[in-house]
Amino acid sequence: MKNHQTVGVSASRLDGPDKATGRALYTADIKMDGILEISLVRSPVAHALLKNIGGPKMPEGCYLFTAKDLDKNYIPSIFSEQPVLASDHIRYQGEAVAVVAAPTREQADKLASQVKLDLDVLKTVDSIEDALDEKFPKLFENGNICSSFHSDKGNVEEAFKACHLVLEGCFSTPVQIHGFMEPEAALCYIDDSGKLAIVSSTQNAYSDLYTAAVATGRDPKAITSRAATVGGGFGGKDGNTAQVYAALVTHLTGKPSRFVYTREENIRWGMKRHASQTYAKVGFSKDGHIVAADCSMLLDGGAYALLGPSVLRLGMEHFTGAYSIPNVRLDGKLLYTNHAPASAMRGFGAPQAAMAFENIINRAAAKLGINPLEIRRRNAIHKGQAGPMGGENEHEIALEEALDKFAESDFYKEMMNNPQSGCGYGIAVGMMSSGLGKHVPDTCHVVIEKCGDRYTVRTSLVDIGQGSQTVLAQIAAQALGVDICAIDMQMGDVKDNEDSGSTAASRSTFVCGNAILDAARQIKEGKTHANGICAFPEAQGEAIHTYFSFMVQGAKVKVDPESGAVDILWMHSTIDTGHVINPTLLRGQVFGGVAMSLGMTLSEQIRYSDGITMENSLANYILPTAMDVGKLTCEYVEKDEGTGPFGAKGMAELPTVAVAPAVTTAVCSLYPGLEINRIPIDRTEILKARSIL
Amino acid sequence: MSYNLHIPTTLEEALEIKRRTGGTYLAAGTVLLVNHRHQEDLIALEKIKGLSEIEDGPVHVKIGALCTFSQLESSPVIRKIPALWQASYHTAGPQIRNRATIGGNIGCFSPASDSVTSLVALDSEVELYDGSFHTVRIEDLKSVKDAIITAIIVPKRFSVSVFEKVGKRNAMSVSVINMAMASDKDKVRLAVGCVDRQVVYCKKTSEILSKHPADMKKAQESLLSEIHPINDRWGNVEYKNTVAVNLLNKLSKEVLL
Repeated sequence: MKNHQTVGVSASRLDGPDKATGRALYTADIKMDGILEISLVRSPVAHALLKNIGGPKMPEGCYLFTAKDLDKNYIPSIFSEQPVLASDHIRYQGEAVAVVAAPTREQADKLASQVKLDLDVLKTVDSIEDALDEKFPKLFENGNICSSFHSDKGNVEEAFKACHLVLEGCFSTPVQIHGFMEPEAALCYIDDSGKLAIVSSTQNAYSDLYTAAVATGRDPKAITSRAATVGGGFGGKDGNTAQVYAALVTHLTGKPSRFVYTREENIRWGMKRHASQTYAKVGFSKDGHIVAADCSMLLDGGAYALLGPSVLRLGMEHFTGAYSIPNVRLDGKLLYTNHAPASAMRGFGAPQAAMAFENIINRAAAKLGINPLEIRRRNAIHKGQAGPMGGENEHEIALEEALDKFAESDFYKEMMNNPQSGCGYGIAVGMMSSGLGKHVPDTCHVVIEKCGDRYTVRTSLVDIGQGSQTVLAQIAAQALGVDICAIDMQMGDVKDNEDSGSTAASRSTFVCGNAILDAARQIKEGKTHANGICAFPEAQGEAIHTYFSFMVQGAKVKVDPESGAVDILWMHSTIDTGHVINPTLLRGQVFGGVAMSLGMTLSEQIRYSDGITMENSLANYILPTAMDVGKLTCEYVEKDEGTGPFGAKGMAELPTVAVAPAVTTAVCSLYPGLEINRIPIDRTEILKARSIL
Repeated sequence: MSYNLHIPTTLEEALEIKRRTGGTYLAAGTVLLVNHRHQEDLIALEKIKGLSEIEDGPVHVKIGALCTFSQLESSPVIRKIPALWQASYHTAGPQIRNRATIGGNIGCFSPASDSVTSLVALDSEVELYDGSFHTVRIEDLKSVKDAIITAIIVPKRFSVSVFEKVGKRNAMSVSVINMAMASDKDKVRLAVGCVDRQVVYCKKTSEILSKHPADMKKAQESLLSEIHPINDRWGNVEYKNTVAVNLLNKLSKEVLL
C-alpha cells in the first residue's frame, strides 16, 4: 500500500461541492408533506408574573400548547432552572410562554399574536449593577448571583507592596451574538419505527434527544436525533434552541413539525456572548516581571444560567493564564438579569478577560520602557510551570516560540522599524483551552467500518461548518495509510453512535482525532469493524483545563480624523496549536475568529432598554464586512503535542481572544494619554482625545 | 405575506391603479419588501418605459427615476458630478446598488438617503407625474401623494462638488451623518443628512460659505444652528454635531479652494 501524506496538507473541504452547488440540505430546506410550522408566543415584557394564558380557539389543524402539556418543564443544563415554557414567572422579554403550530408560519404567527397573556409586570433587572443592587427584585429565591468563582494563589496584597509599578483598570465588553448565517432551526417527525425523530441545526444531537425526552416524557430509546447540514454554531447551538418545541408538537400531534427562527428572533432571543465588567490590578517589577495580579470579572448571564457558570470559570482561568505569576487572586460572579440568556460563544469568557489583562500589560510595557513582545517573553508560561490556580502545565506550550516567530514577521518589522505615518500598531497575546474541563464527562467514540477498500468513519460529533469532517478524514486517511477519497465521514447522528458530547470547546480535532487513531489501529490489526475511544485527560491540581493553545495578535489601524472611525489595515496572527493538520482550514478559522472579534471591538453590541433589545435586524446589528477587516495574515509555530493526533492541539476559539486588546492598544498609540477600556470602541472618546492634541 | 401585485406599463395606468386601490408604488423593493408587512396592493413601476435613462443636456442632466445606483456609478455623465457619483457608490453594497433606484431612494423620504443629500446640494429638481408633469425643487418636496417620481433634474453649473458619509462600517452601512457641498462661480450649497426629519439644506451656512469663505468659525456656528440631530442608536447629539463640524471643515477645504 502506498503511504499517502494527508496530514499537514490543505485538503479540499469534503462539504465544499455540496454547499457550493446548493445540494446540501439545511433544516429549513427539508421538504415534508403536511408539516406544521411553529411560532412561539413570547412575553412582551422582560419581567412579570404570568397569571393566565387566554388563547383564541384554534382552527382545525392548528394547535396551542402550554407548560401544562409538558411532562417535565425544564431544559437540562448545568442548573436546569430554565423552563421549556414559562408557567408562572417570566424572566426575559421574548421568553416562550406557549407554542402554536399551524400549516404555515404566517398562520402560526397570526394565531400566536392573538394569545392573551395576563401579566403582573415587575421591575426589570436591566444590568449587572441592577443585579447587584438589593433594591432590585430577585429573579430566583437565592438572589441574582447565579454562580461565583474564587481562587487565591500566593499573597497578592503583600506582593503589591514590593512592586515597582502597579496598574489597574476597569474594562467592559458588550453582549455579542454569534452571527451564524443559518438561524436556529429544528424539525421533527415520527419515523417508520415509531421513534420521535429530531433533525436540527445543532452542535449536539444527543443533548437534543435528552432534552426532548424530559419535555415529552418519552423513553430516550423512543427518540432519535441528528444534525442536518449546519450553517455555523460558534456556541450558539450548543444546547436547546428550537429543538424542544418541534419535539413537543410532533409528540403531541403525531404530525411532522418545524421551527425556524426568524433573523429577529435570532438576534433578540438566541444565545449570547456574556457582557462583562472586569477589573484588573497588576504589579510589575522594574524589569517587567509580573509579580501579582488581582482580577475580577462580572458577567451578565441573562435570565438563566445555561453554560454561564463554565464560561465564568474559564474566563477566570484564562485571565492571567498565559503568564507565570506567583501571586494571583481571581474573583468572579455570574449574574441573573432580565436579559435573554447568555451561554457559550467562541472564546467562552477568554476574550473578555484578555481585553483587561492584555491592555494593562501593554500600558505597563510603555511605562517601563520595555518592548511589548519582550515583556511577554519575560513572563510567558512554559511547560512544567504552575497555572494561575496552581496545577502544573503538563503539555506542550510554545508561547515563547510564537513570540519569537512574531518578532521575525513583516508585520513586526514594519511596526518597529518603519511605522507608516498616521498608523497605530498594537499587539496582544491570546490563550485558549481545549476540552470541556474538569468534572465534565469528555469522551469521544468513533466507529470505523471497512468495506472493501473503503472506510466509513462515524461519530456523533457534528461538523457545524468549521470543517471538522475534512480534518478528521485527513487523520483517518493518514492513520489507515489510504487516500482521503477512501474515507466516508458520517457525523452528527445518534443512530449507531455512542454519545460523544458537544461539538464545542475546541475539542473535536483532539478528542475525535485520537478516537480515530484508536479505531484505525484496530482496523490495521485486521478488524473490519472497530470502536475507537478517547477520554480527554483531566487537568492536575486546581486547574480546570489540560491543554492550551496560544497566539500573538498584531493590529495595524488608522483613525478617520473627522469621525473617529477606526479603520483596520492589517491583522497578523502567529499561532501555537501543535502540528497543523490542514493549513488552509487553520487560516479559515483564524481569519473568521479575528473578524468575529473585530465586530465586538468596533461595532457589534446588543443594548437593552427596560429589558428590550435596541437591535433587531442585521441592518442595525453591525457585523463587519470584508471591507472592515483589513489585510489578514497568519503563520504558525509547529511544536508537536505528544498526546495529540499527529501532534495537534485544538484551536477553533483561540483567534477570538486577543483581537480587542491589540486593536485598542493600536488606536491608543496614536493619541498620548488615551486609554480605551470599553468596547465596542466609542468614537467620541477618540475625538475628544484628538481635540486635546 | 401576501399582496396584490399590479404591473402597469404606462404612467396613466399606474396612476389609475394608485387612485383606485390606494396601493404603494414599488420600484426595486430594496426597502419596501424588507419592511413589507401588510400592504394590500403593490404597484410595480419597472415595466413602464422611459424611466431608466440618463440624458446629458446642455445645462442639466436628467436622470430617470428607475436608474439604479450601479447605473449611476458606472455612468461617465454622472462621473462628472462628483457629489452624486460618490453618493451613488457609497450607497449600500453592490447587490443592493444593482437593484435600488434613485427615485426609490427619494420616495422613501428618509433623512439618511445618501443620494438625496448630494441632490439637495446640487440644487436638483424632481419631476413628478400626476396626470401631467411638473417639477419641484428637491428640498421643497415633502410628500408625493399619488404622484409618480419620473425623473431627477441635476444642474450642470457646479464646477466643484463633494459628498462625504460617516457610517458604522465601510460598506452596507446606514449613514450616521452625511454631507454634500457644491459650488458654482459665486454660490456654495451645503446639505446635511441624518440631522433632522429630512435632509437639511443649510441655507444660512451656504450663504456664509459663499460670501465669507474664510470665516469658518461663523460657518460652524451657523451649521450647528441649522441642524437638529437626535440621540439614536447610531450616535448621540454631541457626536453628530462634532462630526458635522469636522466634515464641514474637510469639505470646505476641498470645495472652497
